[in-house]
Amino acid sequence: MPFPESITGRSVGSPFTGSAGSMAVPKSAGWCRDSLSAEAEQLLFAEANVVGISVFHELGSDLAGGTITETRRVGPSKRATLVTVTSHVIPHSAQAIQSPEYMETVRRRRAGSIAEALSDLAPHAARDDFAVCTYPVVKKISELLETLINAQTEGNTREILRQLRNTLMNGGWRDYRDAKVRKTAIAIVRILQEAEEVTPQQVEEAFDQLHDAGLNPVGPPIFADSDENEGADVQAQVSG
Amino acid sequence: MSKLKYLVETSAVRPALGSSTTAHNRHFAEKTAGGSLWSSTYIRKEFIHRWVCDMIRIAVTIEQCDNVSDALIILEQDFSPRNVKGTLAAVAQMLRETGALDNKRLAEEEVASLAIRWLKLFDKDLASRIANLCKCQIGGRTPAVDYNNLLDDLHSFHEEFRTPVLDCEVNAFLAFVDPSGRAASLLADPEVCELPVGQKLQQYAAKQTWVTCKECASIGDAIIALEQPPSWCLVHVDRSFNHLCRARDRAHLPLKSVQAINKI
Repeated sequence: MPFPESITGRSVGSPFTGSAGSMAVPKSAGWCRDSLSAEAEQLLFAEANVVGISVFHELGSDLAGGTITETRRVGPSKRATLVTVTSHVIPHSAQAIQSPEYMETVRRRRAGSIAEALSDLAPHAARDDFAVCTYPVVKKISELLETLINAQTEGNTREILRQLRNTLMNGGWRDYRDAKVRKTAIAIVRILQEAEEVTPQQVEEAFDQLHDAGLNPVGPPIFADSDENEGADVQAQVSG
Repeated sequence: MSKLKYLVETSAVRPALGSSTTAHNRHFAEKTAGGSLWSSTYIRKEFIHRWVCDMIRIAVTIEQCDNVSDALIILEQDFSPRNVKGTLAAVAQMLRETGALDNKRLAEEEVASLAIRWLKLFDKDLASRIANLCKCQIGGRTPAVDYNNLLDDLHSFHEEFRTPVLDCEVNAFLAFVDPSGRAASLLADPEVCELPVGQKLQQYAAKQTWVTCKECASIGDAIIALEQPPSWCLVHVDRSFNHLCRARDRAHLPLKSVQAINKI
């Protein structure tokens, strides 16, 4: 509903949309409604102007906060005016972007993009600067990991993504010159692209396939303690 | 001629899995070339205790702190007196490289999932196991993980794993009451008795201590030495095994440490 000419409004923050009805308030009301008795209130507002105002707050996809400030100027009135302001918060959009279905959609779409990026490596496999070519793959994997980090039902997806990313790290990208290796990686990404739900079993299988292909899905090597040396008694440290 | 069988002791697990320095990994590979690598349920228990449980602890601590930096500071203090500065520095480095240092949720998953992948690597590369003579009940455990509830699942595993088994058959294996039992065979060697593990074993034997996982963790080297079958060669970095293997008349292959390799 459009604001009447007598009302000015200022809205800050992209996620909010607001709409309001007309409002009329006594300019210099010398009373306070809260202090009236029920009887006096009934008399005063018996024939009052009644104005309803609805303000709609629709949470946007970025979930950013915001402020709506409105200044309304109304003319004087002989009769009291009853103003009811109703605020509505509409969370559907925000809820939708966190829903398992939405996250599944994001995963499928972007897994497809990763599979394409892996396929695109083929014509560059012999290049000296092949590491440059694999950079977009690592970037896409890392971005999807970050996007899915709060998705409660995509934990298994994240683990497969971490395994894939690890195979490309620390010189692992060299292995991707080999068509067989790329084929293995693409087959795993296709699972993310096609599955309705990624399961722990699929995580296990992905690890086995990557490991058996001679890749390193593990990530950093097992850490050494600072005091580990030839004479160190491992069992004493264990008991620590 | 059959391949030589190497039993990889806990101190040699890192180079066996290619997780030490390049030179140290090569040293291991050269020394054990042509042989097959073996492990045991008990060595796997020590691996879980030392590396997997540590990583779970780090992940859970990150989850309970406002940010990753605070968690690392707290851990450095909490791990005392064990010196894990190296581990924590490596964790920080890993989180920096994966872009997770500023994202608590990413960080805790990176650390927790790494624990699982290390264990998988252990099980893949050291799949062959000697008989579990000491009947360790926890070394064969594997966390059942759904990555949608990663931290919850690992926390449960950690708590279960750290709860001492009270009715372990390791007591029958050691046979403190038997003067010709396994423990006695080790304690007959004066040089073994001078080792920290020998002293602990003596103490338990003298008091006929009932051994649970808590006590067992402090005599791990002795258990490993006592479990070693005659036709296996123990590969180790830890020098205690020079004496333990000699006392048991078992073949052993001492490896140089990372520092010793660097000095060459």
